[in-house]
Amino acid sequence: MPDTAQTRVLDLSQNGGPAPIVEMSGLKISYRTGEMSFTVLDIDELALPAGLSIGLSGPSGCGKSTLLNLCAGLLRPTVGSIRVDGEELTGLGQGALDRFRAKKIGYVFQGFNLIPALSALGNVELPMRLSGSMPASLRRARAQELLDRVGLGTKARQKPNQLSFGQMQRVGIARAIAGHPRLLLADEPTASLEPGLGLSIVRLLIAVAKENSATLVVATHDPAVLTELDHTLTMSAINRAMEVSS
Amino acid sequence: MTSVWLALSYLRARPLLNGLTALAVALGISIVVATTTLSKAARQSASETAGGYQLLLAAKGSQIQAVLSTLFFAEAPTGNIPIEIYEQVHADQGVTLAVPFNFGDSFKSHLIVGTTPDYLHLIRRNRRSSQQTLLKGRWPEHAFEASLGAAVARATGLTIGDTFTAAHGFVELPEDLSDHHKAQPYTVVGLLEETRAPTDRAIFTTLDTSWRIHGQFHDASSDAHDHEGRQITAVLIEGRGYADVARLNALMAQRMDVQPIFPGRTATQVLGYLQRGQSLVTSIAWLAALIACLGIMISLFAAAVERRRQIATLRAIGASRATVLGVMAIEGLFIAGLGAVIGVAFGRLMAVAIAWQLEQSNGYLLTIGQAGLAEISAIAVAMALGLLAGFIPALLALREDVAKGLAAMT
Repeated sequence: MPDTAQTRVLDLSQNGGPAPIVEMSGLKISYRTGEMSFTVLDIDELALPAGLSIGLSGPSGCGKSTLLNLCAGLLRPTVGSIRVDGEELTGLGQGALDRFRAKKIGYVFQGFNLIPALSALGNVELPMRLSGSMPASLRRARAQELLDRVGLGTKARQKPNQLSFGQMQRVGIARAIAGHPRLLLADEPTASLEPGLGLSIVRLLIAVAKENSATLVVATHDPAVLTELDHTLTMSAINRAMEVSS
Repeated sequence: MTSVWLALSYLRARPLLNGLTALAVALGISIVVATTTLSKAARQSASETAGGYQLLLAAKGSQIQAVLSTLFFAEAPTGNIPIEIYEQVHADQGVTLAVPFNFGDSFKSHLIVGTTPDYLHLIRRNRRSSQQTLLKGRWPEHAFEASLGAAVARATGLTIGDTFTAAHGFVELPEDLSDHHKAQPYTVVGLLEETRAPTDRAIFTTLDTSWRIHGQFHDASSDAHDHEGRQITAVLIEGRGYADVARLNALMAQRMDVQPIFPGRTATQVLGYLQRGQSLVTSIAWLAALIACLGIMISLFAAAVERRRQIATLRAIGASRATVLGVMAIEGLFIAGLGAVIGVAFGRLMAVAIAWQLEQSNGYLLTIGQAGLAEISAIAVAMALGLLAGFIPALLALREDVAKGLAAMT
């Protein structure tokens, strides 16, 4: 039986590396169902360095998506602290968290999650509109530029249902990076794509993140994807709740 | 602004469903607008027609029937009263105007009204018309001369110099059954301008014409004041002041053969009945509009379920609760607003069409006024309901955890 009391510290930003963009400390997420209490995430210390691409690996249900949602401020820890780009998220109210996400987070989803009522251009414009940080002409120009960058410049007026899966994910990447996020989160970005296509999408994601000076965190169970990234973290190494459940 | 942009995008994405929902709102609002517009026109018409007169003397019976018959030319009279009553009030120092009426015959369902030139004075004063306007030609001076109301002239095509024969009673019977007074044709001597009042649908002649037709004027050469035994249908009176009208009312109330009626009061009573009916129809129409707004809510509830993951996505990429709330509220507002505007336009069209149909079929004249506060209120209420219809599903959708929404399959 593993020693669950042992403290695990995982700091990729040590040894003179880049300053951390994500710092977690004594963090737990627990749910209560009737009399039972389940802990799905239990992290002692974790620091993710800025400017790199980091993979989170592990089987389904190991807490990869939960960790990403925590970083995005979509989930609040039951206990502990999480700082993203210097901001302590546990202390932020709902409105401040919304503004934090609009300003600092980009999110790429497994199912693309494009808004079907909007064109490709509209989808890419959306985060910039939400953050309200850019005049309309610049916003439109940047959206078009990003679509050109992901190879969909000619598909700007197309609605998501007129695009292939690969094209939809490219639009998803352009949308995620549009608001100049500091942290780009990708949850199984290749799971809905064919293997060959998935790899090219991940390469595009890494390139776009680097061009925009964003830190990329990818949750994936695909070893081929992990080889493309700067670092890989296995969830079993950072999540003590996995040891308990096993 | 992002909420408006997103809401419009969502609206454009479901044009048929949103169009049909707006149409349902439009139907409810159109009935509300049509009933209130027609009711307003009826009230205005009734108060304009009955409000100008102070006292009506008619045979005993239903006061409403007497008012509808004399002022609106829309009912059979309650009966006849002796000519002496008219002579008595005409000679009264407290009476400034007394207008006698004699009904009995008709032409193509248009009532022939025997009266005096005082009727012309009365309608000129009520309509504030000058001597030069209102009548082309002249007012009848001799028996079997006639001036036609504008609607009658339009419907029959008769003009000055033409002749026609009247039928006895108020209903035109087939030729073989009719009791036309063919031996005594009328000659048209005047055409009244349109008044948008009951005057338009009547034919006016001298008081003695009907007596001559019906044998109450046996000797054409006899003195016009020799009226013994003759009858008229009603007398309209205007007094010098309220005291004179009250005195005449008390005086006439003592008689067995006549009843004094205050037309304004009776018109108010009739309008009260109309109001009750209109309130019922309007309530039902508002209920229909409310159900249509519930339709918006159901449609947006369905949209909220369908967009579960989209709402979570919007939240994940930085949309605030207010933005998401705003999107659905604006959708509800827009659908209801569009429906309400179409409904108001359609309702007013319906009112105009019904008023036109009433005029064509029955000769009732209703003037549809300009759109005003009622229409603006109908649009405002519908939009408020639409806003609420969007707000509630959005609030429920926002209660869901974003992370769960992102994991949802829908």
